[in-house]
Amino acid sequence: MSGTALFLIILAGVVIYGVMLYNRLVGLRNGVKNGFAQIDVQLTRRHDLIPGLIESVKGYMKHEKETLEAVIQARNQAVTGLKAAAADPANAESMAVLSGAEQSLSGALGRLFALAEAYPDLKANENMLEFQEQLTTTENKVAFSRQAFNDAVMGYNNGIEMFPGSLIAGWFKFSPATFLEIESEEKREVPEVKF
Amino acid sequence: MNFFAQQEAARKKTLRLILVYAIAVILIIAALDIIFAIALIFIEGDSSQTWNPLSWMERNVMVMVAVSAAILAFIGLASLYKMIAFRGGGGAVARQLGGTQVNDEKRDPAVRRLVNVVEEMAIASGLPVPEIYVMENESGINAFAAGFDTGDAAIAVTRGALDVFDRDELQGVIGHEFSHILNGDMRLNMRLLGPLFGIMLISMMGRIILRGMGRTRTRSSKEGAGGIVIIMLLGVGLTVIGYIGYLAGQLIQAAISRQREFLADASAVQFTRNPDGISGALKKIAAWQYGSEIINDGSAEISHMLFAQGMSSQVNGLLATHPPLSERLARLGHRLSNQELAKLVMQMGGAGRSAAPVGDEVFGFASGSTHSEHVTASPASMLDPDMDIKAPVLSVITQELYEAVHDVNSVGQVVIALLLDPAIDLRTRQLSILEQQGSEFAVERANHHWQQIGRLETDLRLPLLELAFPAIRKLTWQQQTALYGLVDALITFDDAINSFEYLLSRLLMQIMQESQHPRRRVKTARFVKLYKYQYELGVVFSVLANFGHESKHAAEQAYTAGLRYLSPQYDWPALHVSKNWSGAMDDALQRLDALRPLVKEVVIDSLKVTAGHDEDSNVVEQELLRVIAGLMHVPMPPEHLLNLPTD
Repeated sequence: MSGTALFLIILAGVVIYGVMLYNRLVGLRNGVKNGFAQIDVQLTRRHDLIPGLIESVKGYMKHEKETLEAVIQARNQAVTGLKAAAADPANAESMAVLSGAEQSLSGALGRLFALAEAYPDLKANENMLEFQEQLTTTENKVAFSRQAFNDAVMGYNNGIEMFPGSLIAGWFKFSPATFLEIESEEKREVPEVKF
Repeated sequence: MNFFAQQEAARKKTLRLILVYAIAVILIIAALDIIFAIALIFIEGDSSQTWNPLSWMERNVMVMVAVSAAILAFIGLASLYKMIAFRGGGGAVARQLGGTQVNDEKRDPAVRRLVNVVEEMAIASGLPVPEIYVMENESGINAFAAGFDTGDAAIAVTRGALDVFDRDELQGVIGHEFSHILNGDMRLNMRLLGPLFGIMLISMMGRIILRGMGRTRTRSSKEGAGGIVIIMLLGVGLTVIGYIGYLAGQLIQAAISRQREFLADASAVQFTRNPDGISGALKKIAAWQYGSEIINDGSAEISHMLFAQGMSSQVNGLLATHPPLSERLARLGHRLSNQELAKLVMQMGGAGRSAAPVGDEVFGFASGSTHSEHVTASPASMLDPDMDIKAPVLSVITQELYEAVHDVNSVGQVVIALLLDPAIDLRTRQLSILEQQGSEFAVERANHHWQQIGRLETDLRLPLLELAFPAIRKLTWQQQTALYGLVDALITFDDAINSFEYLLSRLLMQIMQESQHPRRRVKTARFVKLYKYQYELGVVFSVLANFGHESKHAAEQAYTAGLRYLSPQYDWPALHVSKNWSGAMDDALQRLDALRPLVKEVVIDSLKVTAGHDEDSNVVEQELLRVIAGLMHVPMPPEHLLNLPTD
């Protein structure tokens, strides 16, 4: 009699623990999804900032038309790239196109800021300082959202690969997530935004 | 650094400490049970001759269970009360401490940056963006997070922090605070403080009982004597157990809090992937004139959530809610040398109050350390003012120079003058450096003193400096830092540092430290074998041998002779002097300073062997010996200083 009761209590404990583990894994998986959404949000934000930046420097940098146009062009390419990638995040090719476009946008922005060094009025301009801070923070946010995504992936993968989580993961078919990797050191670097 | 491993270690230690805390609470309840049991036995009286504890337990087991439950319920209710008092969420705490919520952030670029950094860290940590507060009236550097949940959390930063930190440092600090939110440190701490409050109430109850008894004593009759004993037992028992429990609980709570700080530091690195940011912030806190002191009352309640120790009182050691800054820096893979600290203090305007509140922690001397075997001998106090070491210098210097060296207003100029180079082109460059530092008057005076000193023999530089020490000690911290700034500029301009320059700057630095912490005791390492300091000893002996001897061969011989004298059986490293010998020397002497006093004296004796190997000890050797002894806190008998060459 008491043996049966003990067995039932242990069984209940195991079931409750299993449910808790399952919920934890679902939470981790949602963290990974959210991490990816964040990257998307931050990239869009950067694209939205650029027209305003161009507008405010245009007056000062009349002789740098080419650079300004290069920034606008790179931005527009990145926007279309992002749209294509967002439509089908699983497609590796569209992701590669997007990362290439983002790369050239970063490069164009870097050149713009380097040229701006030569314009003292512009350097002191409040709008410009504001934009500089905004771009710095957005670049950081892009980098941090990538990093947070990868941290989330690591936490999730640890959760489903380590015992006893691995049992639950096997049961309910949790598949491991892949890290977001940037191929070269160069691409990892956001341009130095400095005045 | 491996921040994931460090986080794991801090979490494990926290768990262990929480277990200890729980055991402590259980022990307190058990102790109180015993007090009640004794009281109960007294009330029952001695009915039977053979009192049997087992049968007593059997009769009263339900009573004891009830008593335990009552105590537990009491502590639980007290905790609940404490928690309700803090229910307002993080924002309420921040407002209570004088924070204003950031709303129109566009106006102030510093605030704008803060908002951006908080948003960045929210992304990096995967938390929602908390409410952001700025404590406008706090000029100290600090920041805190408050709130039970990630949903109602708030982050507050002092105005001082906004002004002083650069973007990376601010990021590190905010990342640290996000870790407190993410790991639920506020909730954890409330759960620890609640029972602590209950235990404190128990101790208070005991004291109330004792006080009440004092008042009714006059009315006591013979029959009531037994009752009084019982009440007194209860009163004393509750007071003592409550007090001990409260103390023990506080110790454990502080230890847990320190682990959470390490966890938060490691997490900040995880979020920012940049250990330099948070290390820079910690270093600036060490240097900032107000330290991390918070003026507002009531910061004790949130002390565990702050970025750095918030109270100015000497909360050191076991009751500190934050680990020493030096240890936090060490775990981040950084260390703060005294030179760097002084530079930071100068950069930040090193005025007024020094970094005193945290200074003790920076230098890593545990306060009240029982290891100290001797009190620091300060450079000037090593020599009796009347000792005739100064006799030769007194007979040669002019009355004007004598007065200048004793006057706090002019002693700095004499020190500057001592550093001016005899070569005219170098001296011109030095004077222009002084002018750049904005001290035209000092330039003129220093040049004037230089003319007087220039006539002196070089062997009188050190005695003259010794004369200047008492006046330098009387300077304010501000003046001392300013003087050190000039000295540092004059020494480093030609990239070569000679023995006298080294001596002057290091002894000046030591005076500054000692006037900041007059009663600092030197921590002594016990049972350290000399061979562990092979490298350090090699550095010091090399420098001395190299400076004292013309040829490399003679230097090598003197070097070996000194170390042989120290200990013949070890394999000492070969003579080697790096270009940056002063930095290596600083590190070496700092380590050797931890040796036992007797061992240090042997080291100094061996150094004298090296210095005297060529049968005559010159000025440079004397100067080097003087600074080595000074920095190692070994009193140098004056006869060695007096033993100047007579040509």
